[in-house]
Amino acid sequence: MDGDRCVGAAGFSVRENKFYIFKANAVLDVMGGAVHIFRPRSIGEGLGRSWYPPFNSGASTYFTLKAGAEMTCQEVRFVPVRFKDSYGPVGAWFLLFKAKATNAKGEDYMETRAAELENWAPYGTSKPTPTNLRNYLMLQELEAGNGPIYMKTDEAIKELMADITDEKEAKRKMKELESEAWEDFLDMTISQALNWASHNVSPEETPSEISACEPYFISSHSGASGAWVSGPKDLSPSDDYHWGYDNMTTIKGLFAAGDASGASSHKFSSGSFTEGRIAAKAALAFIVDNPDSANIDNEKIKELKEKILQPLATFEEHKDYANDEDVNPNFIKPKMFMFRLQKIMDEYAGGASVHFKTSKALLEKGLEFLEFMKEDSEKLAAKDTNELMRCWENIHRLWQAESHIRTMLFREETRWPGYYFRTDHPTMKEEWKAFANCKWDPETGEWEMIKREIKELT
Amino acid sequence: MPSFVISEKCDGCKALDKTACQYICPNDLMVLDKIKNKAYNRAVDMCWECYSCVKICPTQAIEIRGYADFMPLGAVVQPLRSTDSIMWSVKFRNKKIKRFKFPIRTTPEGSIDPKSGMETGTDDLKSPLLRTEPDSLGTDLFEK
Repeated sequence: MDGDRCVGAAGFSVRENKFYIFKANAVLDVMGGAVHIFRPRSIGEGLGRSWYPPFNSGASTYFTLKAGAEMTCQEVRFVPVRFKDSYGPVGAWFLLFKAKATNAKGEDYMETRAAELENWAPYGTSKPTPTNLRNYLMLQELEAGNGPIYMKTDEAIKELMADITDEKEAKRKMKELESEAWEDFLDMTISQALNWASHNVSPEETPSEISACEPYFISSHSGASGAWVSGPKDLSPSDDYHWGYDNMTTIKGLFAAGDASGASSHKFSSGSFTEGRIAAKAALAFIVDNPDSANIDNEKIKELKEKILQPLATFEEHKDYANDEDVNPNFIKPKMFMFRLQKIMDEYAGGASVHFKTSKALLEKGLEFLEFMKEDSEKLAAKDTNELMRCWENIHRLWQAESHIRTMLFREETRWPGYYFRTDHPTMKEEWKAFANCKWDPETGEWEMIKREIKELT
Repeated sequence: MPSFVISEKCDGCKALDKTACQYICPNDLMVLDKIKNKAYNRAVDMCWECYSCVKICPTQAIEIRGYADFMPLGAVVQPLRSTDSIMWSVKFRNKKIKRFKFPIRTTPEGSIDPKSGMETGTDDLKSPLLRTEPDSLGTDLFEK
């Protein structure tokens, strides 16, 4: 930072012994969402089988939050329902193959539980039913003891084949459907194909279980968490929706797009890509308007370098005290640090094992435990640059986790059942039809919670 | 689903300055054991099954063994890439085999014109229009 302006970034190489300082007249934050903040459903080898890539650890949020930028929708996590365990996509089955999801008795819970949707009007009564409400009805089925939940792939294929009487045509059609079904996985979630093969599942013969994954933080694809960025000049209704440059955060010269910019859930791949183009163009305009090179203080660089490389120094200093390189009272390794964070988030902040339910009392307890983690983060240790990367990934996760808990506490209602449910505030309230924003002050270290009005653009 | 390296097939990419799998892994998992001169996956529980290492390995020494905490043993899903398509072999636990071939691109490499013959709408950096817009929007809905 140069005063109130973001003027670059710092980092290190995992290949060579190099520390990097990037000087910039404008910075665009596009480092994706966050995985492994909540305890995953599989904790052995399957730990890595997250729905979103495990190498996205909340760097986007950390970067904007620590710069002092205002953040939005940090309470909104995304819980995708996917084919169980391998998290294969369900979209093609629902939309292309018109498959139905049912409980173990074969009942379509979207029909049998339709009345529940009225409690969440106008969202619940609109078409298509929002993702979180579809999740919610499914969770209710599971709580009623009606699991497992199945994607009826076999019935869908049967239905698609129903009108074909010619034997040759039927054979051709079946081959085409089979190819489409497998390609869906082989193109993007190969482990789901392996999961079918390892269980001898042929989708035209056997239905497959689906389930809710653990929560993730993304701004695209039905998530919403990210930085509060300036809207486009031509569409924004007022100054608090637009401040000079499209997609600029509340920090001068710091832009965000994709999963880094919040409150724009309906961008998916192409939307995030286009938002990146819009943000990059605005950043260029900022550079042209602010051509003076930024000042970077050498003392600050020295301080950053020391802080960033500290886990290596901590390990060197204490490694000979114990015979086990991972168990040593003087430090904590990044893996156990991550597991501690995941346990806290799962049990107190409404993870998968508690069916995404939480309350003020639980959240406050979780926040208390995160304070210990913040203190212990000073004692993270790394034996090499790979572990140094893991240390910083987990510090990023910790900050994403804290802003999540604080914003869930702030919003005293339940607006996204199926993503999370506040048992102490189980309904949606009119007064909370607003954005819940937060900001961390780099000078004082204080958090500020901000309620922002929703202004309709259309 | 973790990747593993078949010892016999891996030559440590000795002709290259770093192994192909080290180069391609998005999570910094593949490392070269300099004594054995073989690559290995150092943290299988952080592996996303993206198959990048499997696809890039010049000696086809890398395969995937399904996450053992929920997949029964015995299945293999293996790709073979060509310049324009990918061939997948899916071997089931019960030995059944399925093969699928999908295109991976429909145009020759390097042949795409970024502007696709469309006009640059404006040189104004402050305009919300992106390169080739409004031409590429295919609609006059946004024109004022």
